[in-house]
Amino acid sequence: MPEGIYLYCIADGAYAVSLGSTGMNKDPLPVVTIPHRQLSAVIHWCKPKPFQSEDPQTVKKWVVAHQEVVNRAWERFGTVLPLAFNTIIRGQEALGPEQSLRSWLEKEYDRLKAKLLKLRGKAEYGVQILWDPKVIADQLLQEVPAAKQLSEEKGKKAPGAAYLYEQKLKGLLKKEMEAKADACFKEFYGQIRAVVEETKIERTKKTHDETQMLMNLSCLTARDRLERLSQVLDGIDGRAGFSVRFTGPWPPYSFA
Amino acid sequence: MEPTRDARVTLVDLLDRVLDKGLVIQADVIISVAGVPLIGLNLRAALAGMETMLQYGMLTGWDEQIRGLERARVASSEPRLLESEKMILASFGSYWAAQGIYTAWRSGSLYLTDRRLLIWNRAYKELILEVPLTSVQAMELKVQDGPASAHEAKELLLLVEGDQVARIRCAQIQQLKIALEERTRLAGLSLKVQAALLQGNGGSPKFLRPSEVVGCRGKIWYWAPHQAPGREKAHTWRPGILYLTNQRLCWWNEFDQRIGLEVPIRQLVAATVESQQRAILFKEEEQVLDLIYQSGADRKVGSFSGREVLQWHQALAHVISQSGLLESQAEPCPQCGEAQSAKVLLEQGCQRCGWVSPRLKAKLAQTAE
Repeated sequence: MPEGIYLYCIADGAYAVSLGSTGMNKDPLPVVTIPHRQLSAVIHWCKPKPFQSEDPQTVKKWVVAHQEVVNRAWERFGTVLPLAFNTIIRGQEALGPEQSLRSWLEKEYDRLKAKLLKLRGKAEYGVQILWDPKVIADQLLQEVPAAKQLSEEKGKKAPGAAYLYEQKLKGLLKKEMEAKADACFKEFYGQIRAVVEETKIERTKKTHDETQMLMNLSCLTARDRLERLSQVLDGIDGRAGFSVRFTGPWPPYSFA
Repeated sequence: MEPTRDARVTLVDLLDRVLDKGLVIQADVIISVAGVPLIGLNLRAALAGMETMLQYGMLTGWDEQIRGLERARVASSEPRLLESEKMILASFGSYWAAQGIYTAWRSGSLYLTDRRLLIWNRAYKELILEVPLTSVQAMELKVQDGPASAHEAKELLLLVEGDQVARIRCAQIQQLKIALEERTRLAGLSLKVQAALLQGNGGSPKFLRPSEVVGCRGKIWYWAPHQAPGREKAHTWRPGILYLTNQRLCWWNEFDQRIGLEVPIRQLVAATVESQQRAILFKEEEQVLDLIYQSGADRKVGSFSGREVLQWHQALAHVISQSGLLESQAEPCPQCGEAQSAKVLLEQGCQRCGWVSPRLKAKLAQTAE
């Protein structure tokens, strides 16, 4: 018997089943569940050392395989607590890894149970709101009187003076954009927060086109109460210059 | 709006969640995974600039292409060696290219292999000099001191087959010479007596005839006529080397690397020295040597200037008196062309039109004061 247990997630309920094999382990050992009272650990037996590779493609394959197992368990058992990638349990002294796992489950039983209860019937969704700064700047040019005036005066000036006006206008627009981003964030966050159970504000990322990410949220919500979130996001997506990326449902990684 | 789980759209999202999130167990039964977060970081770094794996693949290709181009560029900036040819010395060097009307120092990367001496122009990927070592018959290292070279420069002269002389300058000329000698010795070639290269002054031994013996040589400036047609009357001072041999008087133009004036000794008529203010070149009054010589049916004057003018005057006067032409031959006045005794012409001026030599003019002016 291998000396390590790769732990994918903890499922609510007692099951002793096989979920088939995965892309994670080279040995054709299947993913199985180990029940402990009313909890089940979704695992596969492995060598007691972490999965490591220099090759991004390999790691990507592992990550996707990890996600697939969590997903399969999630769909089958309803509620799961996903574990971080590469969580491997080893044996201790005379005890094997299974005993280690069981004693950990026993020790943490109440907390795990409480978490699972909270997550029951819920899923995680990713919401990323982006804007196109060019479109927004054009809007501001029309909306902000000072900017509009500068822009009009610029048109009448000789090239040298027009350049200085341009710089001034750029500075003004930058400030206005920041203020607008702030206001939009508050407005959208308020709207979204009102229709979901829980949110986590994630760091915004660089996009790879002309858009900028304004907001990156993980939202926890009941799977059957998604319409309200969808409506809110439709409203935001419909605004000129804004777009929304809506991903999920994910197992509740961000809320485990 | 419906959420999506399309893997192409959500890959980054997925990686974020699986690598960064999920329940983290704090227990001593968990295998320590010190290096593990690095996997995530590495992967993220690889993904950072590229939304999709497709783009990632494209960039990999681009990177390889750039590297390939650079490799090819470096490879092509060296001359191709023959099979089993070995590089012995690589440096920078130049050689004196004098073929046809084009004369100049041509520079490049100098390579000595076990078979050839090469100068390679990187920019044009062209061999500008190729000397098979088997064709080297003699070599000599010498210090070049012509007026044209601002600094003392060492030159390696190679006598190659066909009596061609290759002049080579190189930053590591001493090492080059030693290596060349070593190679030719190893190749079983014996170099001829090197005196073959030592006639005359550096760079100009070729014009001497075998029977010719150099009596005097020295740097001197020559009031050289312009070569351009239509400007025959224009002159400029040019640096060069004057040779007096047992047969000729030769002035070697150091700039153009060719003979600028050549007068057989028999045709030398007279030589005088006068003081002149040649403001352009010399701040103070300089002694100018005027040499009258026979050119066909005409008499011509050639002027020289330099530190050794008086010595040259002596030497020339001696040669001329030996050939005994000064008194016996008549000379046309430079102004009106009337033939009269050269001595009279120089010492008293022309009897017909009143032309006086510059020296005489100066002398007369002095006496008038």
